[in-house]
Amino acid sequence: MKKVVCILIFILPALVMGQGRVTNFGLFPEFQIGFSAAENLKVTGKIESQHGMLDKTESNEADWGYYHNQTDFQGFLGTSLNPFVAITAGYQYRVEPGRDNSHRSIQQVSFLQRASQYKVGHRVRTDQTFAPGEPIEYRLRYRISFEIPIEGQSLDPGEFFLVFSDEPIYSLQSGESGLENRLVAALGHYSKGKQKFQAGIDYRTDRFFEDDFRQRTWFKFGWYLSL
Amino acid sequence: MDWRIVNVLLFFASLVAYGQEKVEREYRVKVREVPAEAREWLDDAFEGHKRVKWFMEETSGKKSFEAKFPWKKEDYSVEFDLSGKIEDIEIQKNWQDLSEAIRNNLEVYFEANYSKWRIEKIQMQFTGEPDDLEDMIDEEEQEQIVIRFEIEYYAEKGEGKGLWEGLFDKDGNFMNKREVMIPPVDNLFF
Repeated sequence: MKKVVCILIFILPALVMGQGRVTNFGLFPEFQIGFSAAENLKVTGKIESQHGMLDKTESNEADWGYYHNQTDFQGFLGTSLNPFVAITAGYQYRVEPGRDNSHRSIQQVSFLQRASQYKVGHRVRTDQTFAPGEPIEYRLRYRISFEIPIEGQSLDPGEFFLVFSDEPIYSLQSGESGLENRLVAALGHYSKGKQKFQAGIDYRTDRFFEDDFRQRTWFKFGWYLSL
Repeated sequence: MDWRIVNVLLFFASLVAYGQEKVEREYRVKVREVPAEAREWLDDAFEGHKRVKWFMEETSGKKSFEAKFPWKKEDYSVEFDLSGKIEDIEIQKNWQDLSEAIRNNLEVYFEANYSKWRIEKIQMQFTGEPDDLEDMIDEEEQEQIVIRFEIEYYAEKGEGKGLWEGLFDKDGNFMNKREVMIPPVDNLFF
């Protein structure tokens, strides 16, 4: 298990920082809480915050230094169609230094598949971002996630697990489209009291067809609490 | 606001909450940790078995050892108490593996109680004395063996939808059921 942690924390970001045209690296903590507000109505709140530590553009020296990139405050209301399918609507308020704060409306459908030794999560999401003085940005996203127990054949409280996910994102703003991809590999722990903890690498690439292809690598760590 | 403070607070909040204990789990154990009686019973009953994975199972304070392995193209799970005495044998089955009479009885139960249903998992369960269970495996004798089916199913009735684990007798007649709760998976969806 130590080897997995080493790969996630050290080797992967080191590899990705050696390539590409624009590179960022930083810390990405997040906290999430979910609870049932009524019969079949679930409320989820989330805070996620990006803190940059390194910026590098091709042919320039790496610029090390702390900066706050952005912090998102999110709230969701969801209902389950059955134990495996849920539909959810949400709102996000983003604080971003140097730019106007923005609002985002979110809609998603999620599907859970259970295999004998792992779980697969599918998330289809659309969102619309509203920022002062800017045209509305529309996005369509699909994320597939795998949760794999390490210690047994099913994930039980007190055990570690691995999470791998990938999410391609298509965006449209003022007739211009964009593509982004988010790849996550993390080590998690499922604890008593319906809590999960995860720490790993969130590797994001975008601007694929432009001169300034960008890759952002975040060390992401989160606490996910269900009441 | 100094955003470094947010970062540090979120990090330490994670650490503080992490220190809590677990209650119910199944985890791998090494073969040398398993009582000799259990290992010997398994070797005698399943002569030539391969690829056995041993687990410790803790459920509501009760601990047991569990051996999981493939045998004659089926997935077997054999449970032993902490002294190494066998408790039961479970074999994963498909719907088509069950006899027509059992399938009919199960269908009668599901149709009578639900508007929509779907089988998720079937386990055939054998309990009995160690010698009788051994005879069942190597000589295919089923005298003194209690046979049951543990069936996990998704079902809908009116407004209610849920995942259940039902216990059925050897003929497929309903005995009891309990709701299956899926552990939280919000980390996969938000």
